Amino acid sequence: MKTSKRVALCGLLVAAALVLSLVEHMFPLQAAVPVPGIKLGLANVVTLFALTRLRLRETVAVVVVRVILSSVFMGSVTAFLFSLFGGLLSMLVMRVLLYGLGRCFSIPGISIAGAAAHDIGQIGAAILVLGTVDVVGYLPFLLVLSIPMGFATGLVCAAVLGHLKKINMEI
Amino acid sequence: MQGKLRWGDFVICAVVLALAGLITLPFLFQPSDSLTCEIKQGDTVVKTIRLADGYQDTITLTAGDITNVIEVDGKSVRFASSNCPDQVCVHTGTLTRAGQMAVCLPTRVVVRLIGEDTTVDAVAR
Repeated sequence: MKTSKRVALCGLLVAAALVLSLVEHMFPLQAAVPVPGIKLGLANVVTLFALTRLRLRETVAVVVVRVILSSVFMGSVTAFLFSLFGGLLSMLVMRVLLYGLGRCFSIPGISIAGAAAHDIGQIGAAILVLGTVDVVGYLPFLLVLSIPMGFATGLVCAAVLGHLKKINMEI
Repeated sequence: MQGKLRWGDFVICAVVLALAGLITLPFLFQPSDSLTCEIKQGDTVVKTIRLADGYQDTITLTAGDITNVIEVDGKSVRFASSNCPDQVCVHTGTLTRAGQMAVCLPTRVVVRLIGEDTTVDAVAR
């Protein structure tokens, strides 16, 4: 793939991730499941997609730019740090697990691991920011919920990859 | 193809659940009677309240232009209101048992219930 095409794809993915975060923000999932801080994590689809199609450094760029822009649009400085920790840890875990794609893991399974890693990264950031280990109390709820949430976003990603293969799109 | 589940996926689920269970364990053994409410902002303890029936108090904390209103009513504590953007602290609801807590990240306020007394009411043999 040409450099210009890669850059364009990175930009496209950042834009897609931002739109997904915004759409996700409109549905108050907290009202349905009363756990503070719960969200579907649709931006995870983009990270996973980028990992399968782009180089690692390009994916890092997509994640970092997405986190910076989404906190400019709707978050605070603390939210920025949380998303950054969560996003990067989730990306690393999924990158490692992708080596076993097809043999040991499927895309939805890797997505679950990514969602769980995102929660762990966020709580890690919370421990650093708040200077107390007490926030770990939130983690069990988030981890259990990361299974259905990660599975759902993983199915979306698998569907996207499947369709691209079907229409033989070279990206 | 990529969507088909593999054995490793179940290992991932099992590891995530095991981790969740492992973290929950220490919280289960905290006694629920004799509650103390500890309100922290950042590293400093703002207030420690021994909770009892009939006790009422309202604590207002600010950081920047964000104000948290914490309401103590009997043996329960809750974030009554906050003008932070995410409202996570308010959505946490009312805290009644030891080990529970509510956090407001923008103001760095942590409200925690601690069960200090470990005396046992009754033991069944």
